[in-house]
Amino acid sequence: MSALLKKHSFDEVFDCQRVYRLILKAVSNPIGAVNVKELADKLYGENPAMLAIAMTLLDNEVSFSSCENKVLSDEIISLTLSRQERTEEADYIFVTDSALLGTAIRNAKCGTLRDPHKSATLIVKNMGRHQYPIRLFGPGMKAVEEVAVTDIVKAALDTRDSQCYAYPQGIDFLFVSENGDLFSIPRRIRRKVN
Amino acid sequence: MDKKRLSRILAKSESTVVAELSGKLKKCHSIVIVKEPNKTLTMIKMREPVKESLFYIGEVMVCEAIVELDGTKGIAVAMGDDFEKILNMAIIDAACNKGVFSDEGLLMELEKVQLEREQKENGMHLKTMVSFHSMDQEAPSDVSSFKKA
Repeated sequence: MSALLKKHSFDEVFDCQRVYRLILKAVSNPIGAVNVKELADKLYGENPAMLAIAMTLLDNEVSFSSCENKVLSDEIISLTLSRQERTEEADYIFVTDSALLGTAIRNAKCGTLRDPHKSATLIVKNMGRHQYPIRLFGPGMKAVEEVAVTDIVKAALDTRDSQCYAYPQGIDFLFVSENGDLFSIPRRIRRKVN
Repeated sequence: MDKKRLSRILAKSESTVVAELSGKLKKCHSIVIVKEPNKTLTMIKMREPVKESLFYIGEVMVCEAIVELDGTKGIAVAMGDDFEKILNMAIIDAACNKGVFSDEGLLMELEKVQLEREQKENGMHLKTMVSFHSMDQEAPSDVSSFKKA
């Protein structure tokens, strides 16, 4: 057995636990970035950080959509045995192509008033320059904070806000960049317009 | 050969036989482990004979592994905890998926031997089976007359 090469050295228990702690930290401190590169490097493919998140959050009881990224969905299926669904039904949506982000957000399920947890979490690949200043506030942030974001994050928030979800309905975002930086914008984080 | 049959033959075979089959593949192809062999539990479904409904009889320990043979995936799951055998089964499955597995004849022979052994065993069990049919004859021949009364 030892003679054969292993495709990755990501441990299903210990490394998943470490990624989980980082995701938890990111979600409880919106906009605050954590870095998963060290752990993502143990995986393979074009989007190792996404695979690390997938291995942590997904199993055969939840569903996911990879927004037409066949390579990513094959990798996720073989690593997690999670089932692939249409974007409208998926619990986790992985967006690698920013052109499909708008459709993914519009189609993502936002839960119901009775079951707001039956909503989707979007894991979005973030790239580009942090050039758009936005002001955010909400639980987990001390005050209104101004941060510079990429056009992908801005577009995501624009589309999300145009959906006008009735709280507690809504969708949660995890943004992950090439260098492993991960930050979250949960549903209750809102934009301050002046 | 369909997957159910392949898996059944390999699962019933000896670990050494499976190792021999995959040994040839290991030599000529590059093999990468995607998911190392590991123990898990799985629910076993049964159909009960009276109402013919499905139910879970319990959990059983299985081993699973996923490998890649020249980029093609292969997966194996079987009862027990023989890691080496599961890995070799996954390699053979990957070879079948890729279409480079050439020892189908050998598999057929294995299947034949397994089938014979099974039939012999079933024969031995049958000898000990009690026939309830003979008891029917002791009952009144016209049961319907009771019902009317």
